[in-house]
Amino acid sequence: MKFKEKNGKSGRTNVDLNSIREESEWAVDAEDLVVHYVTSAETVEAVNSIDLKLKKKRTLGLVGETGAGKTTAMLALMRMVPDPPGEIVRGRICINGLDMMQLTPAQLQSVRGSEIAMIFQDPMTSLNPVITVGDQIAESILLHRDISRAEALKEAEGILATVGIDPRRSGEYPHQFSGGMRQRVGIAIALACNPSILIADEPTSALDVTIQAQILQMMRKLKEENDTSMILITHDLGVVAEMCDDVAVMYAGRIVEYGTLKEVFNETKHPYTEGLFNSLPNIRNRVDKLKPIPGLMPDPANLPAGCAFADRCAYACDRCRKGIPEARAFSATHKVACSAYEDPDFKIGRGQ
Amino acid sequence: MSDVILEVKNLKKYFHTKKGNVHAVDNVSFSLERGKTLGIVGESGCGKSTTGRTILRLIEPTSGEIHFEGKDITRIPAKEMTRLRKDMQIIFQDPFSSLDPRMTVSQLIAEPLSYHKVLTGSGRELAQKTEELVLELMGTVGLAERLYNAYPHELDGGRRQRIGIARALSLSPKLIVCDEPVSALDVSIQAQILNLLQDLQKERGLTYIFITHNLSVVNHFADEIAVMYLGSIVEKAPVRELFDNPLHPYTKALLSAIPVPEIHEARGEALIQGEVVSPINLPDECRFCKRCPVCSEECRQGVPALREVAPGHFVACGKCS
Repeated sequence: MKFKEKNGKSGRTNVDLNSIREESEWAVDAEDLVVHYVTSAETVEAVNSIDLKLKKKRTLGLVGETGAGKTTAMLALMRMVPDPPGEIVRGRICINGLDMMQLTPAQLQSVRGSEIAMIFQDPMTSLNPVITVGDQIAESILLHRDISRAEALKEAEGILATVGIDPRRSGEYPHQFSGGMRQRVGIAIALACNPSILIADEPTSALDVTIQAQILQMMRKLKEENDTSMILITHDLGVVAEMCDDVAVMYAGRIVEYGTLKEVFNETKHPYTEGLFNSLPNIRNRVDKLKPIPGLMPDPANLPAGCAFADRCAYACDRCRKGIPEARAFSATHKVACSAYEDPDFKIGRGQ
Repeated sequence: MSDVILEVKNLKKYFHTKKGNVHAVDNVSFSLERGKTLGIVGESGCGKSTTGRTILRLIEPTSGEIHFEGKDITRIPAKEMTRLRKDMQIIFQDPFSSLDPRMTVSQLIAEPLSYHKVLTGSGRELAQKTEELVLELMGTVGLAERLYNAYPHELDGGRRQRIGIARALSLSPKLIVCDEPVSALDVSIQAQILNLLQDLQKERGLTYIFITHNLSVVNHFADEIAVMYLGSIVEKAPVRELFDNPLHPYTKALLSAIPVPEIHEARGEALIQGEVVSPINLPDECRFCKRCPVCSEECRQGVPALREVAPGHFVACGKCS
């Protein structure tokens, strides 16, 4: 960064985005998104035709097991899927009315960070160990705004204060911080340019519950203050209940259930969502035995022909193994991709 | 008379560092009945793993006594301790780093068998017996036979953890220390492993020390729970009692911090702020003082002792009576 300043360049990109922006009520509007990882040996079908819509100022929870394609889908929204081997096969991605698939690399760089930013999962590895935290926050400010390094560092201190870190620590290195503090730094970097959309990839999975509670509380507060829209990736349904307005459940690269928090939690429709609830130890409701979902998620390089969940599903029948289930609408907001509902009398166990 | 399998008295483990003594385990005492599960809960750095390892003498205690089946094992020689470890096993937290990547599933499971010379026989006969036992163990923990020659990197976290469990079971131990066995796993897999551990306990009458930071896991699993903070037990009670009637402010904070997967009223302020303080050269006051919402001057007059406030319910807090 010092090098850049010496040469009188801040690395900043001068791009006018507003001329190509379309009016949109959606913060995120992705349709038919397909992402594959292509290697010589196999094609991993990580994301298979998902539709994702996020209204402004709302929080969407993206839930699913490891390997369900949550992170890949989010990277695709930012056009950050590593290519090769990753490839956005098809789909339309609109961020704040900007068609991400049509933007040039320079335009993309100006969108990332200032309009859409990401908080990464593991605060132990996502920070650069040889750069002070203040400089790491200033880095993204310098990329987007035409100010001096000293001014950027000053702002970085202010951002550190908003995430609950003493600004005097801005000259310290990541190893001098605890896990919770490092995640606060990660959040500070994402917030540095005041993005209107924030993607948080399992921001608290690596943290203790008490620290998790503090971080979630802080994120909620900052989101309200800045009118941010947020997508929260998590596998913890408890975190979803606490933070989200809408929920999308992902399985093997597809969204199997999508609805408001109330619909997904109280009127659960998809057998996989039901399975997730049953396998969770609930502190308010001690059961003698948990009911895990049997088996494992199928290999995304070798997905079955029909519903990918059929082999683990208690309700599966022949019809499920034939075609991939279409999303069925139960209300204006609640969509479920399960063939069993072709039978109008079908009901699942949960909530009865 | 109750059948106590393990009794720990005033166990201490200090690590010497340049900055001073790290009080990793400080005066921990408890006893555990055969066939029961004790859950040890606390945040990272509270000394729960060190406690588990010190009990098996994988780490030598600084002072204190450990009695296993009535016998003081604190100072017995290493050779004898090795023999005793057949009865005391551990399942490690991270199934990604606790298995040798260059050994196959069968070699990994057979390793404790050959080390402790559990099976006897010569050459072929021994190999035959080992293979039979390994396959039987794989069946017990739910690993398919086709994985016999697989390497750990070919397997997902849940299956790797099953190898860890099979290794621990191979010696038919009486006590197993489970050090966060499900923390690295997805919820649906987590439930599979928890159910497996529970079934094995019923079948074999195992005794568990279940170390975790996730109170909702022990709620499901344990008979009794000990909450640790900075090397000491601050509250210990039967599981129902602890969840229905938590007394120590730290236990209350831990319980309230757990996100519940139900729609409910928005939570207020987090009960405790700040992080665990450094366990080096601790001052002579209640360990929780710096984060405690109800701390007062009297709490700074020495470390409160664990007192029995209701049958079986112990708490170390000057404010709780």
